[in-house]
Amino acid sequence: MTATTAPEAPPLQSHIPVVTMAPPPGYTLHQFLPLAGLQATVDSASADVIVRHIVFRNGEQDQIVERILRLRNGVWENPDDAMFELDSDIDDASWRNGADVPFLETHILTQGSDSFNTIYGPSFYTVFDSAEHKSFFNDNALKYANYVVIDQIRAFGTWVEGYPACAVDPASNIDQSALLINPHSRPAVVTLGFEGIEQTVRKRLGARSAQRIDFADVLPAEATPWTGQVFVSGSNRVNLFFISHAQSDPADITTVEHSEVYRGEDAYVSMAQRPLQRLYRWKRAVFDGVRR
Amino acid sequence: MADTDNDTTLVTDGELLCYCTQTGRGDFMAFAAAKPDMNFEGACEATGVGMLCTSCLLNAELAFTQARETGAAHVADAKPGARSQRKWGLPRRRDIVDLAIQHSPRVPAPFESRCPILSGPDVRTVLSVSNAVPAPIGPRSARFRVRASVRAANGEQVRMLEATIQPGERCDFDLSEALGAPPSNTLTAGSAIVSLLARDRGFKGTVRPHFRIVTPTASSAVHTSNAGARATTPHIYSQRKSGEHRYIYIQNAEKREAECIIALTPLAGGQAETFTRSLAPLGSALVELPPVGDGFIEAHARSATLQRSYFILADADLRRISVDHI
Repeated sequence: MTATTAPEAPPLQSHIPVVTMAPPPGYTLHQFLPLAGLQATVDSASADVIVRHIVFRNGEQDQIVERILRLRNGVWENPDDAMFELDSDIDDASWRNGADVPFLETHILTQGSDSFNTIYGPSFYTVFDSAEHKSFFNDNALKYANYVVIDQIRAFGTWVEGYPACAVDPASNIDQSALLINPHSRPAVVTLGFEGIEQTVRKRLGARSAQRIDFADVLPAEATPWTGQVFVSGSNRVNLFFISHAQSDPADITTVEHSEVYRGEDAYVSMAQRPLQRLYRWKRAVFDGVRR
Repeated sequence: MADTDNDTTLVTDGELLCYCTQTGRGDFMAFAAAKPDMNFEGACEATGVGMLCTSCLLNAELAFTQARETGAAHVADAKPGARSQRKWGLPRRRDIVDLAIQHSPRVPAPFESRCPILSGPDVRTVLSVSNAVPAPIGPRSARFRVRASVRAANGEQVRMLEATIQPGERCDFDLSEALGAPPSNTLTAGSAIVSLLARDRGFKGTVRPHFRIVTPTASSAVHTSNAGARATTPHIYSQRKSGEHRYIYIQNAEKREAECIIALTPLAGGQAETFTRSLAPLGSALVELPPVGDGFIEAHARSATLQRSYFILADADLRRISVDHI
């Protein structure tokens, strides 16, 4: 090993990108970047922050929209550019089929002498609205570096995520879908397992592509109505969302939720943590002027 | 390690990260730290890490993240979240706290969270706690005792529900049934304080509680959350769909009364609306939001006590209902 002089820590010039579903048929997507939260991550009172939205589909970049937010002496000069809107670009048949659906990546970057003080950007909801259907929110997913996933890999050496409260009842028009998003440059193979059901489902996802897996289509008919846990596993992690929707119309959406990681955190806590937490609450109560 | 701009030669040193390319973890981290303009995928493509069997990609993500947070100077000792480390001096308070936490024994302690209860004509709230076992990992989670203290809107406890779930089991509590029949034909609210206590040593697994809002033609679920703040983060919603119902649900987490102030501000400008709701000790309220001007609205709720709030959207006939924590 050649001895080298360790360089100083480089400036942080990008947040971890976030991934979210692209708008289904009939919906418009709206993102409102929280400027106060974004400002708190910038290392100086003046900086140019680049916001880049990329729509991917079947391995290709469908659209790229880039804006520069200008922070000058602690004031954003162009706050309206923090709002991003995207109309649906997928037809009903393609959404229903689910084999090839678009997804959105949002990148927040800076360059030159500007820098961030953290790799994690401010969290925010993405709003989906429609003239025909009920609106809903999606809280996005980190493309990588999710610490709950990292804890899981440390504990178990493998990746498993899922959702513990799914429901499929075709007779009542109740259905659930998994939206599998592979934002990476390599294909991935994942396996879906359903609580109480022996049959599993394997799916191959191309690089930078997404699929919607409709549970009513893949579960054996005799297994429904079904409620329970779904697990998704594979050698490469993909981003997951779980969509609750009408079985007759997968674009008639009730809600979209992020996945739950099978956590590698200890179920016991450090004995020192409880008194420390009480001390912290007391300190906050006294110095915030709140009686307890 | 050769360290020129165009040289990606890595020499293995110590712990292996990528067996296919025989790349050490420290060297991949040093490479990532030395190339601040290169993203994770670029680093993998340039070095070959994770590009063959791809099974090390997750570990590579961790290494990349740590390298970017701590810099090359401390790659061997990098701890997640640390931006920099001091080389000398007295220990800081945070170091002492970290030491105390790391070296004190582990004990069971309850994990508490808050759950709204929505009841109405054909609307039920079901609390689900799953201790399911994923096939790739096996039964590694602890056994958990689950308790749900069901409370009316005035904060009074009406029932305590309890179950113990082994790995492979789950429990589902119908909270609306426990709360009792709603007094009217509209949507009404109560609350549940949910507590999990590990009964043996294991991992948390997938036991984070979720609640499902169930109607005859829809089901949607979201995880419970703790009550750790006196104000919500500002929440932006759309008024595009006519007839849609929008609510803020607030749960008072303290044993004293509080007034909650809700502010609705049109993003396009114009008059904001504010109104207040009184909350009983450990009580809750469901506040339907009126239309305010046109376009998008920013909603914000604050209280003198710790609270947990959710934003609820429902279609005109209360058949599709979604809940999001704010």
